[in-house]
Amino acid sequence: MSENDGFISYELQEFKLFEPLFRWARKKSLWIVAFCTGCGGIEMPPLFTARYDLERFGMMPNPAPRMADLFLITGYVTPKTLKRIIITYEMMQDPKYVLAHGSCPINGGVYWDSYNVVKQLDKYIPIDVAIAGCMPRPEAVMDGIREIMRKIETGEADGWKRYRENYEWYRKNQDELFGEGWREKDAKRWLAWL
Amino acid sequence: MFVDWIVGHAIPLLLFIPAVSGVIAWLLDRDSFGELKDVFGLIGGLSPLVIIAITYGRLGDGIKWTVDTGVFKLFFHLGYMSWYLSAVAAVVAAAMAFGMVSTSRSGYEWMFALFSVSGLLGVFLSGDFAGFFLFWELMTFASFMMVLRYNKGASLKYFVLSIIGAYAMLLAIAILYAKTGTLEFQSLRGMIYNSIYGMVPLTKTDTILVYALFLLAFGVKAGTWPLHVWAPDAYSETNQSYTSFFSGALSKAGVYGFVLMFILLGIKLYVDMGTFHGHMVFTYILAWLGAITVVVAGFLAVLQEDLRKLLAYSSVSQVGYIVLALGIGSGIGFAGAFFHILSHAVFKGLFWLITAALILRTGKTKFEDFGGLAEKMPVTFAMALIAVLSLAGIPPMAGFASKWLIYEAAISAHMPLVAGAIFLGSGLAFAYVVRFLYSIWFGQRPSDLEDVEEAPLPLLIGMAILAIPNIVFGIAPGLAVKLINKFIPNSGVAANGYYSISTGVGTYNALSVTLILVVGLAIAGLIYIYGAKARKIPVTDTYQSGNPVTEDYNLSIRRNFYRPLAEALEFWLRYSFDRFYARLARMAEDFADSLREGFYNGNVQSYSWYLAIVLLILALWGVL
Repeated sequence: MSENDGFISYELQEFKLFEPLFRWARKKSLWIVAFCTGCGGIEMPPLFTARYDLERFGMMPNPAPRMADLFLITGYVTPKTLKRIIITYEMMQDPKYVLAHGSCPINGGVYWDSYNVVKQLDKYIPIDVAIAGCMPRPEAVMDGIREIMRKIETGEADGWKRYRENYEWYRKNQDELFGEGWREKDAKRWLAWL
Repeated sequence: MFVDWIVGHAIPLLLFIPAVSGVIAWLLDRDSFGELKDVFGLIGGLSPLVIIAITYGRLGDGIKWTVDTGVFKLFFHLGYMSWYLSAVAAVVAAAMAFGMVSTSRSGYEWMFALFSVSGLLGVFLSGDFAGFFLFWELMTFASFMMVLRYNKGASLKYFVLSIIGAYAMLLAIAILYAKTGTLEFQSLRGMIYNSIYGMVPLTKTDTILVYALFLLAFGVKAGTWPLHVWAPDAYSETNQSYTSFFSGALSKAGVYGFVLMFILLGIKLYVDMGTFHGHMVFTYILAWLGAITVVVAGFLAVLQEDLRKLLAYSSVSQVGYIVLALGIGSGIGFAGAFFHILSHAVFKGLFWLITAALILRTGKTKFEDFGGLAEKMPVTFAMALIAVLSLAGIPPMAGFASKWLIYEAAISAHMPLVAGAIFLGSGLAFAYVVRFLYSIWFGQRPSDLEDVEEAPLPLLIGMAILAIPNIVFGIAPGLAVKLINKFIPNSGVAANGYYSISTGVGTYNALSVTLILVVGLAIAGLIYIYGAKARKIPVTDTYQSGNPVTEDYNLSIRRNFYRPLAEALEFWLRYSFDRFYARLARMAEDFADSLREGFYNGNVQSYSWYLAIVLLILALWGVL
């Protein structure tokens, strides 16, 4: 407990007494931002339909990042997608968790020698739980979700805090990949084509 | 002493101070006199409010005033009903005067704006048809001159329709005068009553004709469908501070005309036109005209792309509520109509003053040019919020209490379809106030509005004058109902103290609703404050499907906000009374052209032929 002090949120110190309640509530209502990357996107619907049914864990696919707290990265990540992932991730409210799903986010998977696939996602956004496999079975994904629930309970799922504390480092890695001022540049590139 | 003198001379003071100070303001419109014209304008605009306030509680049996002009004797009467209507007009006139200090361009505008104040008060105070018509024309002419200054086409459209209405009224008055021999309301009423027993030769045909002519006359002023077409142009193409009086108070003259028709002709109309499924036919027609106005103007308001047009159609729609409530014909209906006269005047006047402030500060009127102004004009935005809540009928604002009465009236009169029409109208009202809120105040701010300032002080004072009654009469609807009950006996609406009103159907306790609202807001506020720390982020930090965006992208919907609705209504929008009248006007013009070219053709022989034809006719007639 001591090493995870202030886990709930930096802002909510006055509610420390309720920390266990908040943790329980958080792990029981993980809302997923519906952002399907790569081939893993096709593995998401079966998780939510009748056979495996993630809704019994209180999980819901949700199109709005501001309302979600679990980000599923479901496959290889190209630099173009990574920009969107970073923007979406930063838009989510604290606390937020990232579950990398499949081999590609871990080490590039079969695209280990591609010029256009990000080999190690953890360098750009903090990952809380990774599931290996190409593709992982729904049971494996559910196992990963169980793992992230356990980590929320114990307070080990602290990627959002790492991102805040080590922002300089993540920012440096992002800028190395995309070049400085990539947000501005990426937004402006369409203006000429309007 | 002085107060007694004012009470004794209340009517001439009410009628002449605005008009005279208007003329003085016009005469003072020279550079050397500086701001003096505004001072006189303010005197003219505020004097009715002061006089009306002084006469409160001192009316007794009503204050009377008679002028003998030689041809006519003009009777004026300040009773409870005319006091109530004049009070509404006076509040709006005071707010207008403050608004005009900021927005009037010349003494010309002061003069005609104050003429219309005098004209409207004259209409409300007249005790006979001679004065009524005289002031009616003054009011119409003054408002026409105000529109003429800004847009000739719009003003002519308004003028032609108003003239048609006014002369329809003149015709109806002439019929009544020819049959009864009196213009004075009191004796006319007695005569009409006698005519039921055959003592006065007013036949059934006459009654129906008078009814139709009055419908035309007052329908034009009230903007009842299908005579509403002048309103969107005239309301938008003028000084917007003036429009707060034009739309907030002047449109009530038409409504007052309908009330007058009920008072004078009600029994006769009932006897001659009979009933239909338990409703009096003449009120039933009025109720349906009102219902159609509410819905049609509501749909059109939703589809407008111009702020002023939207508010103009909304005004037509809201006056439709009043006509509808009168048409229900029950005591609750009348109480609802009079209450809505008050609340419409205060919230719509407020809307127009806000428009005046927006136009003054930005110079724009189209929705596509606005956005994100809530940060730049916070006080105006707060006022806009009050107006929006009141118009949409959200407690604890005046608009809720009055609409609630109208609903109660429609339901207890067993008019399900009419009640449905007003429910639909209310839904549409929500739709267009959302458009107003969204496009003007929220969203991304166009870069050319970066240096917009808060509205000037006089305009803000004017807005406050109108915002306060919105809240006061919303929290204390009993206050308004008490006033209304003084001139509508057995209205069926009781005021239980200041804060609660009840009809036979239900009770609305505004104070408890307000308290619950305040407590609810307090709880919500606590949850918000303790829930998490709020962080301010720029407007562009928004979820554009994860794409990066900058200020260069316009992310607010500024055009075609309700495009799907427009597409759904495509069939109905193909029919327009506006275009129908335009075509009618073109046909009349063509006809006049053909007459001119056909008869005055410059051919000497045809002139001699006319002479021959006339001689032939005379010969056949046997004159020659």
